Amino acid sequence: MTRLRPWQIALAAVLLVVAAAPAAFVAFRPVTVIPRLSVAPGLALTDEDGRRLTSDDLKGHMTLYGFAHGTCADGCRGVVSAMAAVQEGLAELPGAPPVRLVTVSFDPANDAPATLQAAARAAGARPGTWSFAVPTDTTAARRLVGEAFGVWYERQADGAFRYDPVLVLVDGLGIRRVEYRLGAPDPQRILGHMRELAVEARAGGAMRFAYEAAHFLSCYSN
Amino acid sequence: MTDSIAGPRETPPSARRGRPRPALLWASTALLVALAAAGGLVVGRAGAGDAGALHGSLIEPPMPVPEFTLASGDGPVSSADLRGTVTVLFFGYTFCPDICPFTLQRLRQARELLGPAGDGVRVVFVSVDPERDTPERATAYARGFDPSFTGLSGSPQAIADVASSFGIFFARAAPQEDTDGGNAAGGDRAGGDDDFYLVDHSATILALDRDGRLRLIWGGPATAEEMAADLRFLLSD
Repeated sequence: MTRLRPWQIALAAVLLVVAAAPAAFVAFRPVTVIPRLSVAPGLALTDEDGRRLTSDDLKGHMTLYGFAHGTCADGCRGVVSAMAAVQEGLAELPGAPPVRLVTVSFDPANDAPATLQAAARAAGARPGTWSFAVPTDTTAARRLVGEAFGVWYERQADGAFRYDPVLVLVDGLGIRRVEYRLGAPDPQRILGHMRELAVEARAGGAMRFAYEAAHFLSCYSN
Repeated sequence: MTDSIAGPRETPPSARRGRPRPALLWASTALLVALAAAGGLVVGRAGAGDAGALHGSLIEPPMPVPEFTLASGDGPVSSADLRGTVTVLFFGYTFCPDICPFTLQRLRQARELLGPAGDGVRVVFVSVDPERDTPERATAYARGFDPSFTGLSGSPQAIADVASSFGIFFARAAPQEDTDGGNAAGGDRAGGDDDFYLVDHSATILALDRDGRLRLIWGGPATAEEMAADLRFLLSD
């Protein structure tokens, strides 16, 4: 039997490793990622202090969007209370990643800055971390909240709102990463996702390579 | 006629057993090389997101974007028309005093730096000021920087939808105090003073791959050289 020369064995080994690497990555999943869903909509809102808050202001921050209105009295179906719990849990995130919380009102007709300020105060929102903000008018609200973020809401005959409790987590690049649409939002789960995204955002060198490989090979976390 | 059997030239079974079969060997090698190439492609593509390699932020895997149709001075342009080339999208407006002309100038330089390969890059300027920027005006403005550039406008609703789908915000800026009787920002004017206003907008530049999917985002200022380097990667992708 003809013996392979050392360089032939080495070449075969290299080729085998390169060929097997993606398969091994998928099989053993050394790194998993939260999928990139879509580009988060561009937005320009007015916050509780009457200042403009834009999607550009939020770039570089993980941003948790919630959708509610300033006069809800019931914790806005868990949206505001979940955001309050997330705000409290931010201190536990390692490395203090840049995080913003934005409660977007879909009731611009009633949510003047003073109303939003009262809502922010009642929720315990920390200035600079958690903003309450509103689109310019009802048309802009419908397009942003209803269409771009896909949140269902409807004003009833008595003026009250019916709506789905939705939270959306967007990464620092402005990419939508997680949407919480089913049942009551779970703050611990949201904080877990924030922790994952923070680790991914900090990754450099070989780990950056591994994270991008995980995205490319769809190695998604549960 | 009877075929003769060349007995002496036939390899005895005993000798043939231990010798590798060339066809099998070549097939195995070819398969291994093909697998390695595929693996290398996967690893190479995934690794291209290394912050040290690219200046913009690579979107891996490329992200589909909604279909759209806007208007140029030459007629409608749809997202489907942008496929087949690497497309660089920038949202601005023709009365923009600073960031828009600087950005378009840098994009022209980046395209020039690519040499002949630059023909594979299409720069598209989308106006976020549809009230003042007609399709003709947007096209003429873009071509003022480079005749190959495309300038688009459309209805306010269409522009808002397209911009939002790319994560771009825009809003008319609050009027500024005009103490010297002129435009403090030094911008062009449209008609009388009442018509003059600025538009706040994202300065983000986006690159789509040849399939029209979002592939790269330049969120911060990038030089022409940096953009050219990133575009070179997208062209070879």
